[in-house]
Amino acid sequence: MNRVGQVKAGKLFQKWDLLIAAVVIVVLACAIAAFFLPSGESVEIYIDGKRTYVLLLSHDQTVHLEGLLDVVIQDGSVFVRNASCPDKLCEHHLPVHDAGHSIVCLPGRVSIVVKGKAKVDVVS
Amino acid sequence: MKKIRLSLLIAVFLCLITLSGLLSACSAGGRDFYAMGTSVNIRLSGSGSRKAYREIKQMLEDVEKAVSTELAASDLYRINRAPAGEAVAVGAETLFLFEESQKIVSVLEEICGFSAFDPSLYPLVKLWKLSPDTYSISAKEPPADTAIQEALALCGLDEFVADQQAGTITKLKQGAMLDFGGIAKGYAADRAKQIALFHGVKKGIINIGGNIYLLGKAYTVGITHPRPVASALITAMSLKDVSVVTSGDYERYYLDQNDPTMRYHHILDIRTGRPADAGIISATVIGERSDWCDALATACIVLGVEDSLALMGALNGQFGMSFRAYLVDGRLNTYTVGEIAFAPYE
Repeated sequence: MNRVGQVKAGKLFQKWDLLIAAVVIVVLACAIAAFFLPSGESVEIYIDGKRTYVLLLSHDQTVHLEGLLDVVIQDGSVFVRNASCPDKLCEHHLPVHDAGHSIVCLPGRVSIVVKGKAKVDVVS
Repeated sequence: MKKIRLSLLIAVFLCLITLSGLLSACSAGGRDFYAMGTSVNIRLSGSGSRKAYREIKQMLEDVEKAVSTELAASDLYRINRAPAGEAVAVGAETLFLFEESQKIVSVLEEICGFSAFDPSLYPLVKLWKLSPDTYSISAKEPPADTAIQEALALCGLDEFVADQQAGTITKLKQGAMLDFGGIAKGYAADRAKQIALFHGVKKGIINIGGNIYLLGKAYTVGITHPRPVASALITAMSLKDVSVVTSGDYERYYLDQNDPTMRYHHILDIRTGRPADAGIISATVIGERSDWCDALATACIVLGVEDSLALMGALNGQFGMSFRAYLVDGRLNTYTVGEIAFAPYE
């Protein structure tokens, strides 16, 4: 059946066309969401290498990690308070706000990492 | 039907490209874990990445078990507690690190006149309460001069003898102790790079507590600002297929409780038994061997600007290695050895 015939028969879009269009639309929607939605930076807290919290850097809050320390997000920066580790080095770390930067408490095995569009790939 | 197949293929192709992009974006964080008393982040791409991740993690655990000063039964734990004269059986990693340290120390002694990097300073590190088991950032008094001199008398790599064939290390003086903290992470980064390449990894970043290896493409490496200012970085550089290691007086330190202008940090000078005070507060060394970069970054802090520049000049070309460096002094003046492509970071 030629195209005119298909239109006349009400079959301008066949089953496959619709399926393909649906798949393309879903994938593109995911891609757009992935690239545009997480434009705000987030804070990820790792305990012993395991990601335990994902928080928005724009939302002021305090997370109490029992027996370890408090992670404080305030005015777009994150810092540590009330560390129970012996060296307290993490507590003296300046607040971090840029993507790719982190505060690490080695005795407590806690990493607090700012995620987002980082200007550098790694920090030495 | 042909048209349908073609459009189906195109759609599937587009979907795969998009999905692979999404997957790589999602997996950009790589693997994070703790090993060797530090945080490790490894991001690899290429078909062998999974195998490489597993093997690198295992290797780091093995190295830690061998050279940790804290883990009971580790080679160094047993050496440090053994009486003088007792041959302590050690593994291949410990022997390699000992012999590599000997090489570096002898090169430094030849060029600089003393061992600006020395893994035998552990009695002093403990005395100053700068070892992981004794350290806290709270201000305190420095040790007494007599105690410093007593600990200093126990230091020197020639207080130890290795027997390669028997696989043993023997201390010659009671109380002498070893600590590979200034070289072991670099060694581990070198091993991790070898594992990644063996498994066909094309590109990636290996970061073992700041001992970084960059593989396969140019990456932007930020250098930590050594002082608390608004910007967390002092500079950034574009580097490829090299290791980069930074040491500084800001990493593990405390202030004098009677004089807050005095900072006692973890890099000690074997000439004085005190924290290095030669003017450099941050040293970044770039080269192909991460273990050497690690040791040389420490050495630069001890040497100061002029001697560090002379050391780098004398080292380049020796042993088939070449190094670049970025040094920061107490006034935040910076010095560059070799060509470094600086990159925007703000």
